[in-house]
Amino acid sequence: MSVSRFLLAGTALLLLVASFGARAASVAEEVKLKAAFVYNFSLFTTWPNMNHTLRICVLGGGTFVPLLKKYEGRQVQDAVVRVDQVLSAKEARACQVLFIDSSEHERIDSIVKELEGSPVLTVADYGKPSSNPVMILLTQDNDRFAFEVHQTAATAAGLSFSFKLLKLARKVY
Amino acid sequence: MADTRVVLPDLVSPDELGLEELLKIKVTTSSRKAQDLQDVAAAAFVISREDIERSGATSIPEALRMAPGISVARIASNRWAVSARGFNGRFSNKLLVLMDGRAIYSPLFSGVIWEAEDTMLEDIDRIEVIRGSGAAMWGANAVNGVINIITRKARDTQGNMLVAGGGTNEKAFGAIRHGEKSGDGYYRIWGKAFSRDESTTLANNSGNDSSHSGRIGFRSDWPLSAGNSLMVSGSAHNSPSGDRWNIPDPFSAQGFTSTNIHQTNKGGHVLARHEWLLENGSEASLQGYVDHSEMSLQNAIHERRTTLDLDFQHRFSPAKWHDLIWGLGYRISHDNIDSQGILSVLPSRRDFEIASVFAQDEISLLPDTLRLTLGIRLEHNSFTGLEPQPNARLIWTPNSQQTLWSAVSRAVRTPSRTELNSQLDLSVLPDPLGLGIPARVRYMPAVDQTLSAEKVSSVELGYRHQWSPQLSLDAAAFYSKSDNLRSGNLGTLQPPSLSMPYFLQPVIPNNLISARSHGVELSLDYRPLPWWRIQPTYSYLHVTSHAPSSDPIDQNNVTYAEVSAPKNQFSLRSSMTFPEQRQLDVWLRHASALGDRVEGYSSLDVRYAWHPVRNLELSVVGQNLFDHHHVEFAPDLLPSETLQINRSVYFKAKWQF
Repeated sequence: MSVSRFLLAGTALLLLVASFGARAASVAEEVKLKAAFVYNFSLFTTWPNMNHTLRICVLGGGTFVPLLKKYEGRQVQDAVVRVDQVLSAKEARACQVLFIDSSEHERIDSIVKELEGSPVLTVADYGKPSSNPVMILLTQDNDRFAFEVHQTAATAAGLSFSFKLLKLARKVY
Repeated sequence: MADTRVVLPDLVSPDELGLEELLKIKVTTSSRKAQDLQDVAAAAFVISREDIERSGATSIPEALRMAPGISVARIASNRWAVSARGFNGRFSNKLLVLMDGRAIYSPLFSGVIWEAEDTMLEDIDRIEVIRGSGAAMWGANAVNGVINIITRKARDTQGNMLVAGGGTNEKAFGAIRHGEKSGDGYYRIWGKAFSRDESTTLANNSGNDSSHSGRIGFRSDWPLSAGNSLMVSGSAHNSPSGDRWNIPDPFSAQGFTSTNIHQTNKGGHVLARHEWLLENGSEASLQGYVDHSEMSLQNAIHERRTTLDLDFQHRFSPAKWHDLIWGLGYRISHDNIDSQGILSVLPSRRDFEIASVFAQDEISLLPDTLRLTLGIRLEHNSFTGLEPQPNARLIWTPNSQQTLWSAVSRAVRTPSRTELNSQLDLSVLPDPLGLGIPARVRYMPAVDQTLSAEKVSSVELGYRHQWSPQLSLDAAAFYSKSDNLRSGNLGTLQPPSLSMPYFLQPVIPNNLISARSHGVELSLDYRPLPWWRIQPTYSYLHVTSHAPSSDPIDQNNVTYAEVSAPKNQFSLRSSMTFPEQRQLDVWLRHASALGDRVEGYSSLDVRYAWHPVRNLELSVVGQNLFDHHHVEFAPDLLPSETLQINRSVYFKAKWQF
C-alpha cells in the first residue's frame, strides 16, 4: 500500500513541474561572472607576438558568447578585444584566448594537446585541477570563485603572467 | 558547475569589476560532490550545506536520511536509531560519528546519544558519510561506517543571522549567530533553542517524549602564518526530554508497569586544532579536546563523564609516488555512574583509555590512474587490549569521468561499559513454570566476565561515472563477515527466596553470534534542467545471522541482527529553483519492514521557500505527509514504549543582517 502512494506522489510531482513552466533561474548571473573572469585574465597575460587584436574565442557553450561580446571593443594593452566562437582546436590557433566550455569537457584533453606550444591562453571552468590541462582553471572555493594557474604549460607556450595574477591564484603549478 | 546562484552586490555589473572584486563575490553552489569524490576509494556520500537546508531537516539524524546505506529510524521526538549497513539500534554501536574531529561516542552504551548531539544546522559545511570500515583511519567502532560532520570556517559565517519558527511537531525554535573579524582571525558565537512536541503511542495517546534544548557555542579560526592555522571551538547544552518505560515488574499482573520517565542530557566541550606546514612542505596537525557530559534517566542511571583526547597527524611523501599519513592518538574517558532501578552499574567509576597509532600510505602505481592505499591502525584499549585494524584499497581512475575502486578491511567494535559492568532488568515472565510465580529476566555478566571485541571483515567494490556536469552515478557493493557478535545465553535459574519472591533468570553475555551481510548502494545526481535537480538513492541490505546453539537468547539476537535495519531503502529528492530564489523541494522516502516488528512505510516531505525581501528567507515545511503517523522503530535495550511519528508542518524565518 505504501508503494502505490509513492507512485502517486511521483506522478503528482511531474504534474507540478509541468504546471510551473520552464524558466532558467539565476544561472545567467553565474555565466556573467565567468565572462568577467575570462576578460580579466587576459588583462594580466602577455603574449609573445601581440598584434592589434586580442581575440577571445569560445569553444562550445553558445550562451557564453553574447555575454563575452560585452567586452568587445575594449582596450587590453595595445590591442582591441574581439570575441568569436570556434568549432575546433585548429581554428583556435588564431586566437589569443580560448575558453573551453563545460559542454566540451570530453574533448578537453585532445584540444589542449593540439594547442600545445601555440601561444593561446586556455581557460576552462570545469574539471579537476590535476586532470584538467588548461592554463587557467576557474573553480570554486567554498562560497567564492577561485582560479588555479598552470604556469609551466603557459611558459612553454611563450605566455607570461603578471605577478598580480599569480598572487591572486589559489594555486600555481 | 551548473546550478550556481550568485549573490551580487546591488547595482554593480560584473563587467565593471576588477579581478580582486570578482574573487570576493559570494557564490552559493550546490556541491562539488562529483569532483571531490573522484579520488575516494570508499563508499562515500557528501551531504552539502545546501542539501541540509533544502531538505527541511531540523536535526542531524534527519539530514542523514539523505545518504544511501544509512538507516535512520526515529524512535521519539529527540531519539533516533542510526546505523550503516545494518545492525541498527538506539545506541547502534558499529558506526563512528565525528563532529569537527571530536568523536561523539558514548563508551557507556558504545553508541551515539543523538539526544545530546546538535549544532546550528546552518553552520554545517558538509556531512561526509562513508559506509564500510573506516577503522584504519578513524579507529575502533568505525566498523560499518564513519560520519564526519564538518562545520563551516568562521570566515564564512560572518555577520548576523536570526532564525525563528514554529509548527505542530517543532513547536518553537530559534537561533542567533554573530560572526566577526578579530585581528587576523575570525570567530562566530551562536545560540539555539527548540521545543518539540510529543509523538503518539500505539493506542493513539500522547507519548511522554516532548523535548527541549538550549545550546550555545563558538568557533574561531586564526591564520598564524603561511599554512599555519589554529581553530578553537566549543559548545554547551542542556537538552531534557521525556520518555515512558514499561518497567519489568514481577508484582504486576502483566509483568510491567508503565512509568513516565524524565531524561536529562547536558554537557559541553572545548576543542582546539593546530595545523601547520613543516619546512619540507609536509603537513601536520595536533588536536585536543575536553568533553564533559551528564546523562540521567530517571530511576535508572546518572552518568557523569569527562573525556580528554589528543590526536596528532603528519602527512608527507617519504619517496616518489608515496603519500603517507601517520598519526598518534590518546583518549581517556572517566566516568562516575549512579544507578538504581532496572539498571545497576558496578564498578560505579571506571576509566577507559585508548592509545593508538595508525599509518596509511597511498602509492601511485600509475600516477593519477592507479593507486593502492595500505593502512593499518593499532589500538590498545583498556577493555580488550591490542586490536589491529588493517585495510587495503585500490582505485583506478582511467579518466576524469570514471572511478573504479575496491577495498578489503578488518575492524573491531569494543564492548561498552554497560555490556561489561552492568545488570539490566530485561523483562518479567508472568508464570514460566506454571507455579503461579513470575520470573525476572535479568542481564547479568558473570563476576569475572570478559567480553572480546566484535570483529568485522569486509570486501567492497565501487564504481562512479560522471557522464556530464548534469549526470553522475555512484554505486557500491559490499560483503561483510561479522564474528564475535555480542549475544547472551540463559544462565542457571535461581529459585525464589524470602527477599526475592520470584525466580531470577540470568542472561549471561557471550560473543557467540556471527553474521554475514551483503548489499548494494546506488545514488544518482541528475539535473534535467538548469533549475531542477533530482537525487535518487537506493540501498539493498541482506543480513543472515547464526548462533552455535539453540539457546533462546542467542536465537533472539540472531533474529534481531537480521531484521534491525530495512532490506530496501529508497530516497528521492527533487530540488527546483525558480526566479527570485524561490525554492520547491520534495523528498520521497521508503523503508521496508523490519521483520514483523515494524511495518514498511513511505514518507513525503515538502518544502517551499521564498525571499519577500533581500536577506529574509521564509519557508514552509511539511513532513511525513503521507500518514497521520507511523512507527519507524521498536525500541531496543531500554524499555521505552513504541511511538508513532506524527505528520507535521512548520514555518521558518531566516534573516541575515
